[in-house]
Amino acid sequence: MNMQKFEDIVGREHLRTDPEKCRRYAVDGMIPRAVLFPGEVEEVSEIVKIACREQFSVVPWGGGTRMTKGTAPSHLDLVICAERLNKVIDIDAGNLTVTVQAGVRLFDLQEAVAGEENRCYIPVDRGGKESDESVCSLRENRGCFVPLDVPAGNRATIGGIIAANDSGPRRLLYGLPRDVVLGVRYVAPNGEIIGMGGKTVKNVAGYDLCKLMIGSMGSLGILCEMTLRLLPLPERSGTWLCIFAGLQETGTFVDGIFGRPLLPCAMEILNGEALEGLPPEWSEEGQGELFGVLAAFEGAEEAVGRMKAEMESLADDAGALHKVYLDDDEHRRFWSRYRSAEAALSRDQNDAISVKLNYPVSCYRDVLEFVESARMKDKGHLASYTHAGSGVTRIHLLVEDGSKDRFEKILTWTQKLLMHVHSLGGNLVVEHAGRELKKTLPVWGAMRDDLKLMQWIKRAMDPEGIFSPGRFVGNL
Amino acid sequence: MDKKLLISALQEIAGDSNVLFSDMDLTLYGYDASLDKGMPDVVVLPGSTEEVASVVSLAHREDVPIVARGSGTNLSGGTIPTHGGIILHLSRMNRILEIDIPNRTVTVEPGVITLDLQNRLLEEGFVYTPDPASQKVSTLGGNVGENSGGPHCLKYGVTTNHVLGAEVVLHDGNVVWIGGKSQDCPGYDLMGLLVGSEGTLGVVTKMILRILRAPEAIKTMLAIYDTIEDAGNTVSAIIAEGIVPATLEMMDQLVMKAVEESVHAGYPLDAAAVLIIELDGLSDGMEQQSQKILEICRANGVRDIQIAKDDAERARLWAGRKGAFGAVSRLRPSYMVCDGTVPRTKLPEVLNKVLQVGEKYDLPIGNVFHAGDGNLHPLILFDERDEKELAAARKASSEILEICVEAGGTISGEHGIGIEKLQEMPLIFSEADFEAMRKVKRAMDPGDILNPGKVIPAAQS
Repeated sequence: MNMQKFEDIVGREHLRTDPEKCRRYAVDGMIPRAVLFPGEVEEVSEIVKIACREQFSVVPWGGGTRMTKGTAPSHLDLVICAERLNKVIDIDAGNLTVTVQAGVRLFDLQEAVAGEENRCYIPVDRGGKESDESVCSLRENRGCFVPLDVPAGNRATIGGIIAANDSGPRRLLYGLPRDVVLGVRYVAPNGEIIGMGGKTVKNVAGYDLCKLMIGSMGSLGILCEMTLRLLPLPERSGTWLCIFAGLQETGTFVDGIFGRPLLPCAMEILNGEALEGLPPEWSEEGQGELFGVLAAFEGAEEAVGRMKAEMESLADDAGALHKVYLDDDEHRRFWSRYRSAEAALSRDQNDAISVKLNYPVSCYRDVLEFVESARMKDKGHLASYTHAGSGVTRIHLLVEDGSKDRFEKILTWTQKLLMHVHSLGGNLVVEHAGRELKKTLPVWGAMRDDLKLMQWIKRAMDPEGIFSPGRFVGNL
Repeated sequence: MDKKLLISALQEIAGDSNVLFSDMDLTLYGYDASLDKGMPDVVVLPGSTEEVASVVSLAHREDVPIVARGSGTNLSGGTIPTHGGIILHLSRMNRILEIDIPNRTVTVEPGVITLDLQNRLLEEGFVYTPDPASQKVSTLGGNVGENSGGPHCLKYGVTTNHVLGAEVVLHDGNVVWIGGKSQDCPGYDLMGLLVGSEGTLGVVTKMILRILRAPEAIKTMLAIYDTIEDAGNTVSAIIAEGIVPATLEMMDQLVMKAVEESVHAGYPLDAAAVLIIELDGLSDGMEQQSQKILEICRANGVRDIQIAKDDAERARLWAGRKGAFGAVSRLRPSYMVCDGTVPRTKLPEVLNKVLQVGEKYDLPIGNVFHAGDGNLHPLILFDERDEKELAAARKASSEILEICVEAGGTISGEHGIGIEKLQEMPLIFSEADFEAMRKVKRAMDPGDILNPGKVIPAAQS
């Protein structure tokens, strides 16, 4: 491979070819021949044009927090890292949008928009002329936030979150990346820079290729810039952490809340193991057989007060053994720590696997019963985190001794679990597992009829098959 | 294929009474709510997925263009049969198949009228939020094809944010399910691609839609202004303040006059503009929020504010807004509506420029639109029989869209491209962007039989 061309594009200091240095960017054990750190979208385009011509396979890289997701690539020549594409291009707080490059970390972006004072607009006077000065919001706290909520938000980049379609507990109120992304600029597999969508909250001009890029795991190109919606920071917030003896009581509480017109922002069910894994100030020993619910709400002061009171009485009615209320600052501190705690489990460690289940929202009890009965039988370490109301459960399972016997057991169990959620109309995705295990696990769950459409699209958008070959659903 | 043979093949599939081909029928299916016209060869009204699949399969085999449509209320020429061929009218497939409250979904056929579903859901205490003004006649299939918006999309998002899955007849007549009742299905977001593709990538025959619990409380206000500038400034100020109302709609004097004559909504005829501001959600905190909005209105020179006292009054305020496009046609024989959308901070500035375009071409322009989304709908009024006026209207429309794009906006927020806005597409897309879209089209419909000639400008050879 002739590295000179790449060096000419990004400069020597932004190109790594030493195998030892490239090892850090290995994908499922496969070490790239070069890692590139472009600083401009145009540089990405130039790199990809060469890759397309020379048939080099490319894997895009954000913060590296989801690189264990997906099947192993069939080839890997270049990793294009978005680290230097880290400019916040435009914060338009008056319009409630922000445009950023792919390598900006969510945590940094949240900090930037939370302190945003400039929520202003330019008024027009009665003579139809624009005023010389813009008018700004009178609100005391003018800050905003990006309604994305992912584990490892301190390391995950915006580009990575969108490419992996990542989400967290607060998706219940704020939605998914597909509801937050208004526009994207990406470099297509032929090296062309493509722009779709924009700064408006409504846009139906042309095909919505933004949606195709969201969750495409770098298989259709590399995301370079995104425009996202912002929301004003909520006036007040709070979380109830309630402990229940069993699934029955837990379900009574959760369904009780969903049976009322309340608008929680997260409704997270933790099994005993997950409870014990909470940061020490919020966890207690001996909760291994219990269940916990984190009911969170954010909004106007009066609405938050009402939800706090109603949920408290619902928790008592359902027989909560113990409950703790986390107010504003503590709510924020808890949720940032909580996300890191969950992320820690799925970090680059070969002795754990993470599985994400999706299913129709009403089936959460059924799924949890299935999961818990396996845990009891197996006596293994299994923590489950359920986004109730969204139909998603994340499971972290320790592989422990790594013996062949243990591997077999995990494989059999994952397949049973897949069959079970599939029968409910859901599916399963392995979000993290060691290289060896992934070879046999159903990494992308059960294939469906629509796979052929995905194949058509992949073939049309990446005819040479150079983008993340083999990593996506159906080994696309 | 010989037209007679085509007709008899379709009669074989759907039954004689469901195939139309008289001159009058074909003329009636030749237009939609935009200005252009076409003429199909035949119209078929299938009654089931199987029949749709057979029709598409026939079209595929015989290389006949096929345009799937609902009530034809779209405003961009998306359902006009510009290449002749078959019109696939899905109005007979109008069953609500399942209301699944525990899973917060409904499964419907494409011909269900939007408002019929919404009324049915209200009986259960639930809502399907996308509410295009044409909801009384528009179909859900059409809404999905166009990615329809509506007043309540400010808070709740457009159609694409509410569709979970669909049964789709592909270009070759094969039937595939995409998405489903579960969120986060692994793989590409095909549903997101399909919504808003204007029938050019497949024909939807069943849909799973997301429903929400009806809000506990609703408060609807009418803010009355003596100048358009004040109303526009109020909108930008409310958004900048960080308040996201359920709706934030604007109507100017010209439109209000037309509306009053037809539906008597009680709008003040001497006012320059009104805003319809609606809040919904928990009752707690709503009073405080509405006080804040009142303050902002006052700071921006509002003349008067009326608050709907009951459901009947609220319905009356909305009847005027929803009937506005229809009412305006009382003023002049034709109208052309631009659907340009701008960042919300630019609204006052852009509104003002739109008025100047009207003066320049000496054409009355009415404004009735989703102000909170920055989604303008300037209605250019003219007489299409007068060729000079028609030409001027087209020019004015193009100029308005250019103004929107210059302000950082787009040429269509919710009405779609169809054929009417094709020529403005290069304002926002490069040839490389078009080529990316064409690749998708070719992948999903290699023979170009599904609503050909729409959405993407033809490649320049």
